[in-house]
Amino acid sequence: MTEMNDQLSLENYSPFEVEKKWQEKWESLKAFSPNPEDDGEPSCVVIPPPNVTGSLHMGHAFNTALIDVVVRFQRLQGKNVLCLPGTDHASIAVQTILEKQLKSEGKTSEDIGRDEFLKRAWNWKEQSGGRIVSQLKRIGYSVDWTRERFTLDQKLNEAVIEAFNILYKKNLIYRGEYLVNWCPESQSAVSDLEVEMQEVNGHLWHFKYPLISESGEQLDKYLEVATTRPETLLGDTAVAVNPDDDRYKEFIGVKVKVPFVDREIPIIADSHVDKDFGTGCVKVTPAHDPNDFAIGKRHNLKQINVMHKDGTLNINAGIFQNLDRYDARKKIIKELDNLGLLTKIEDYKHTVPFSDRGKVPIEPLLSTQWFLKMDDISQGCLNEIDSKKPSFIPPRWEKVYKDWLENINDWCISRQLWWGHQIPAWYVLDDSQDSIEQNTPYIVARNEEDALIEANKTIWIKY
Amino acid sequence: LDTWFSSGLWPFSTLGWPNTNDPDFKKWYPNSVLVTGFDIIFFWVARMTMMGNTFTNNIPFKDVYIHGLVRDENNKKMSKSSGNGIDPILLIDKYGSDALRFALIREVAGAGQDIRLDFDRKKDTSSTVEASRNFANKLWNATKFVLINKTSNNNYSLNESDETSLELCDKWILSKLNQVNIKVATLLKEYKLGESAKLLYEFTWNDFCDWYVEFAKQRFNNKETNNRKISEKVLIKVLNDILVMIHPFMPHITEELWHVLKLKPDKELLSLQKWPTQENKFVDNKLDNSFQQLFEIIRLIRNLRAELGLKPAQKVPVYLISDNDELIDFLKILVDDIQTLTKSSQVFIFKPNAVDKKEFAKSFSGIISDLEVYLPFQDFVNIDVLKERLTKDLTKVTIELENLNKRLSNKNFVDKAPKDIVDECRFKLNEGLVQKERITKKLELLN
Repeated sequence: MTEMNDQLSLENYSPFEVEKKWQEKWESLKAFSPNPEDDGEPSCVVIPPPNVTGSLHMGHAFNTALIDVVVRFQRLQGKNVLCLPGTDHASIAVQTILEKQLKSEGKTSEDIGRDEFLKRAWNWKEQSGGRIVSQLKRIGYSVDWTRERFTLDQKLNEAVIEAFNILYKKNLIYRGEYLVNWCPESQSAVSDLEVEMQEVNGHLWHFKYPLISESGEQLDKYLEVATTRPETLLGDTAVAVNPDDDRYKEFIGVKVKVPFVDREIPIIADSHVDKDFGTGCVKVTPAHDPNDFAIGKRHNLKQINVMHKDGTLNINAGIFQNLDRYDARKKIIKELDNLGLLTKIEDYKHTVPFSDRGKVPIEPLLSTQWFLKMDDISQGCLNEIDSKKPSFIPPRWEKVYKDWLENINDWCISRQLWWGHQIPAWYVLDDSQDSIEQNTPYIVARNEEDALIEANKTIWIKY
Repeated sequence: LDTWFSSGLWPFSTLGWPNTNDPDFKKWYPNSVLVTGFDIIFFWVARMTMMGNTFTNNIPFKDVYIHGLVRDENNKKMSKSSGNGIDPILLIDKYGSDALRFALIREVAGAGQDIRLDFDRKKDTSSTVEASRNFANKLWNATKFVLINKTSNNNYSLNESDETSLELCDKWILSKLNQVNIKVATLLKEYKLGESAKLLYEFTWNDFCDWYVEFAKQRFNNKETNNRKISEKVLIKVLNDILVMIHPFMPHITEELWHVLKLKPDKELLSLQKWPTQENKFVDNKLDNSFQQLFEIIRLIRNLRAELGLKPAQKVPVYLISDNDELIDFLKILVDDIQTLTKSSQVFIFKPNAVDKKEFAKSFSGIISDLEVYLPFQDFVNIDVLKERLTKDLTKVTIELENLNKRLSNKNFVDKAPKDIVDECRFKLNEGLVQKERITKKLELLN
């Protein structure tokens, strides 16, 4: 009977008490804090870090349950197991929350400046960052809390700076003009991730481009093109047709005139043009459309940017300068109609990329950004995947992964966000130039002192 | 910088990189496995492999396990905008984290598939999580049974001499246990988590709790100490192994129960024990099949008793007749168990030539492969009461059949109702017809 007395706790099963008891015991005993010096085949899982200011959803619970089964099983197999937890700084989410807070105080982030903004961000992290961690603990996660990491930890920042410097020295990082998803509302470049495709009931406007003779006279012949964004015609630098399209073969090399700006642009042949879509002729705006950007690269076309960063048109838009993009659209349609060039307005359901941050349609915009060259890097992974590194479970994802690596574009790594890692580059300003311009020289280094030393060397060489 | 730039370094920046001499980095890099959802293969997984390969000359993890989404009770994707998320903390508060974990993993059928989580939004309840909570209860009660019945705190490990005194049911549960152990370990190494959870559930609930514990109960009533001792040892061995194997899925309750069993000093943790040894010598497929047959026989007898309307206290004799010598020998060894488990007054086992079947003219009977089962009712039940009950059942079935026939002969219903509803009607019709025939035969028998 003595045992029975010991087992009184067994009378009723209370998950709440049992779970709390063992979660506390495991943590206080550091049961899951392994020593790298200990024997046992190493086994390690680093958890996908949840957003530091988030709260637990069912997806986290599922991911956690799966990982914990795997690592607990490995531990029972006698391996030396590390399961390392951490949280992500959630750059966009936190930035958005803070900007909302500021707005309610009638301020903007620019008003308070970077330092004050970051102070607020860290405060916010301290206040709300514990929630997700304590929720993960309630699942019974057998991770090593003594090794908990945060993506903005100083150590991790050092890793980022080192990584950036290595890539830069390998000439894999460059600054370039590139189309980025620009959000006119939040005035920042947004990643593809932050772009949400939404179906809208829009229009397809059909209009005519007049052909011109070799001597520059306007002919009574036209090519018809169609667009959902008529304002971009101001930046057109070509009209493209398919080389196999018999209807237009004779026009290849001939020029047409862009109305309003009186620019003469060539008719070019590009096999990416779909003969069967619309009239088979497409206007090419390399500075405002990713597909056209690619055509422009292939044919060495000029990139003419017609828009300011706030979504109003710039000096290249001629008489439409300073109009908002949507006001300009209306006006251009009206003017095209007046000129007798508008041929058809079609109702058209299509998807438009919206910015997650600003909740407005994004504009593909040419701007100077930092890029990571991906060809060599992705090729390295393609070589490895042939020997099943890594091995995907289920295996069908291997193909998806491979396809993606094969069709990869250079990665735009710069972001106009304060809450996050900064690019370790320092602009070199001198007496002749005291503001940062597109062509301001810069130095990539590990820290400011190194940058200064490097800058002095470089300038010495220059002069 | 793009957030994915730092996330791409995550598998090694967390282990001390760029200091490649950091003991953590040296020991644990590359990682063993990355477990993540398919939606971030490009954004995250590929960025990590590219960064890892560039900076460390190593793909940062050996395996990548890609899992699906948790869908809601209507099989819809959960999202903030549709507000159909199910709060895991709410379910943990209600059923416990062990139950939620087990419920989620048990739903996984093949890696990478989405799973569905049952949820009643009016009551904030989930029947699947509740089922897992019931499973936890089952484990709790099984452990309680073992504790109440164990006699001393002495050595519980099965030694060589014990092995020679094992009874058939001990050998059977040890055979099952080792098969499950081998299968589960193999499945888990292949990341077949859902499959292993299901296997452990079935073994624990059906084989261990429903059968072996029942066998053990009888032996605890037995005066013979050795018999009792062996049973105790086997019970504890199997329960211990179950707790270890279920631990990755339900870590808290297993840790608690394992400590209560006190097989090791209290300061040790189940979390840090070794996976139970796999003992191939116990695996005996022939024995498994024999026990499978035994369970079918017992179920049949129980059904026949139910059809006769017998109360548990009413003990009647059972006759088992078969030509199969091997089966007869096997059943003879277990005759006492059959008697207790079916609440029979006596169990007779005959070869067909040793008995005149006419004696069983007034019996309810059934057949399981080459074995016939007879329950003579003449002296044990009130025929009139039984007749009345069967007649009532017959009327009920007949009405039900009429209704089903009416529905199915309605062209409008057959053409327009959802297919699964029509199929269900057809299925019920067939079942009803079988039942009607059975009752009719029995009534004939009674007349």
